[in-house]
Parts: sequence; structure tokens; C-alpha cells
Amino acid sequence: MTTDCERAQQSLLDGAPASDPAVREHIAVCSRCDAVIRTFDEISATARELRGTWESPELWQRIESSIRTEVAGTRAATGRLRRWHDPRVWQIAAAFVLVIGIGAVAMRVATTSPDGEEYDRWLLRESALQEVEKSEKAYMQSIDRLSSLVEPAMDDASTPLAIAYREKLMLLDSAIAECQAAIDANRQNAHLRHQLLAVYREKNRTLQDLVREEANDQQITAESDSAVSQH
Amino acid sequence: MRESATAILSYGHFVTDASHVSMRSSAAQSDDARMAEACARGDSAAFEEIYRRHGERMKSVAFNHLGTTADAEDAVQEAFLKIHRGASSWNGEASFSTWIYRILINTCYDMLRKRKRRPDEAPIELLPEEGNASRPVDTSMRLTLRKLLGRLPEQRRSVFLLFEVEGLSHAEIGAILGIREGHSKWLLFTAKQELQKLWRMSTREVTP
Repeated sequence: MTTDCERAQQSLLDGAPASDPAVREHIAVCSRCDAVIRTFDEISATARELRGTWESPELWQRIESSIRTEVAGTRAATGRLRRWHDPRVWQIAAAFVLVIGIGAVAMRVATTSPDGEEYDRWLLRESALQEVEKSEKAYMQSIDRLSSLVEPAMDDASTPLAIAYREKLMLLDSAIAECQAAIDANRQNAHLRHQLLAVYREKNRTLQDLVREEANDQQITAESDSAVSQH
Repeated sequence: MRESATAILSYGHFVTDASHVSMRSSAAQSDDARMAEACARGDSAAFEEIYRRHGERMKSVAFNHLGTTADAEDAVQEAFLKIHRGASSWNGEASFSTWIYRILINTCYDMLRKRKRRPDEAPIELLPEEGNASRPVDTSMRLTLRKLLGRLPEQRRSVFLLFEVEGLSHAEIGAILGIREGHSKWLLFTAKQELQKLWRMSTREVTP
């Protein structure tokens, strides 16, 4: 391709090949460029005939109808939205929610009747709780008995061991009080119940140790007294 | 002869020159804004006005993109619905009429993509008046060109149709397709180069 051919092609890009005299001269002598430009012109001439016109008597009615339907739909949607701003709608909705809520509660009560599976689970939980409370009671009775035995010794604790025991019992009492306060707020909390039982167990063991120590002391004192009297 | 850009896209109070979008007069801009507002409201008179002024050209553009009058009418109807839905978001960057043609062409692209067939495989419909022997260009040539246009990529085909068939300027085409004026020229040139090759081949096949 020569420079003149390139120039002719360039003029095609600009859309006016025949207006440039130099290009016109080149086309006259270059059959290749002449053929290209002729084809371009032929295509353009044919393209101008492609403009489609035909009668469509119903098209406007179709367009108008579809727009009207769309507008009506939009207005209905807007109207529905506007209706939500009416306080009466909210009152009705609130009443509706209330009725539904009551219904749901009633339904739940009905489905969790003693015949239901839920009731069985509840019963199991309740019986386990009763067992725990029974154990607690047993520990408390034992603790009461032991406490009555060690009480005089604790009141006038003077030895380091007795003082240590008394402090330990005070700590355990304080832990028991905390656990009981928490259990009062949530009776079915298994973890708290477990902790309380553990503290009771510890207090019971401590009191038993204390009673044992007390007995040993008394025995030692008695043996000592008898030895003194024999002498 | 090529019609002037203003004459093609602008009629009556739609008068705008898309080649000078930024220089559009304030009167034209306010007219466009009023028209957009009316379309957003669903004002039937506004749509009727658009149809009266642009309907024929819209049908032609759609027909040359889609190949059948039924599809073209469906595309025009769909474009009008999209104009109603989108008129409130028209921002005035391009003239309202330019925006209308942009919507139409995008609607045609959507319809072409929904088709299973490629555009060149779709049946080519002959318009009633095309059978008229008194027309300057042979019917077979028109059908050949229509078929060859189906082989072009969509943007090149649109540029060719808007420039060569509908007579729009490159500035207007650029505004409609969202491309630069120079790019529009380049796309037309490449479209014609491609068509030229195909045209020669097809005419060689036809010629005994």
C-alpha cells in the first residue's frame, strides 16, 4: 500500500473521499482504491434505503395501555405505602398482633400440656431438683448436728488450730449465703446447686474434722488427767 | 443528502443539538426537564408527543437492529415503559431525545441477547414497501446488507445504522452510545471495511 493509498483510506475515515483533489487524482489511477471507495459508496447508498417505515395502527394503543397499567400499579403501591401512615392502621395492626400473641401463648400452653414431651422433660428437671434439695437438706441436718457439737469450742477458740477452723467455717458460711442468694433468683440453675452442695459437703467435712479434733483433745486431756491422778 | 442533526433528533420543543450537549440552550434544557417530569408522572400526553415525534424513527432503528417488525414494535413499547420508569432519574447530561434513543438501543441489545440465535441467523423480514421495484436500490442488495450487518459486533452495527441509515452525526451517535465522536468515526470506518469484504464475497457468490 502506497502513501497515496493510505491517504485515500484516511479520507474514507473522515467520510469525504471525493472532496480532496489529491485523493481524487489517486483514485483515478489506482484501481484498488477506486474499488474500495466504490464499494463503500455502494454500501452507503444501500444503507440509506434500509430505513424501515410501516404502518402500526395499534402500537400507540399498546404503549398507552402498558404505561397506564404501570402508572396505576405505581399509584396503588404508593397508596398502600401512604396508608401505613394512618394511625388507625397501626391501631388495627397492634390489635391484630395482640390477638396473634394471645393465640400463640394459648397454643404453647396447649402444646406443653402434661401429656406432652415438654412436660416429661420438665418433670425430669423437677425431680432432679427435688433430689438435689433432698441432699441439701440432709447436709444441712448433718451440719446442724455437728455445729451444735463444736459450737462451745468455737465460741472460745483460743488455739491456732481452732481459730483456723473458725475462719474456714466463716468463709464456707459466706459462700453458702452467696450461693443461696443466687439460687433464690434462679432456682433451677444446676451449676449453682452443684456449687452449694460442694460447699455444704466441705462444711460438713470441716465440722467432722473439728469434732474429731475435739474428741482427740478431750481424750488427750482425759489421759493426761488420769496420769496426773495416778502419780 | 444527510439530514441535519437537529432535524433528526429534534422537533418542536424537543429542539436540541446533541453535538453540543453542554451548549444546549436553557430553554431547551427546561423543555427537556418538563418533558422528563411529565413522563415520570405518567402523563399520557407527553408520551403521545414523544411517539408522534420519534415513533417512526424509533421503529426504524429497532427494526434494523432486530430484523422483524414485531420485535421492533415490542422494543419500542418496552422503551416507552423504560422511559416512564427512568424519567425521574434523567439528569440532563444529554438531551432528553438522545436519552430516549439510548434507552431504545439498549432495549434492542437486551432483546438480541435474550435470543438464542445470532442476529445474522434470525429471519430477515421484508417490509411491504421494500417489494416496490421502483426503489433506487435493488431489494436483494438491501437484504444482503441486512444479513451482513447481523455479522457485525453490536456497537459497530449501531454506529453504522445510526449514521448511514438514520443519518445522525457522529456527535449525536457518540451521545447516544456514550462514546467519543472520534471513536464513532473509527467504528463506522471499521464497520464499513468489514462490510466491504463481506459485500464483495457475497456479490461474487451471487454473480454467475
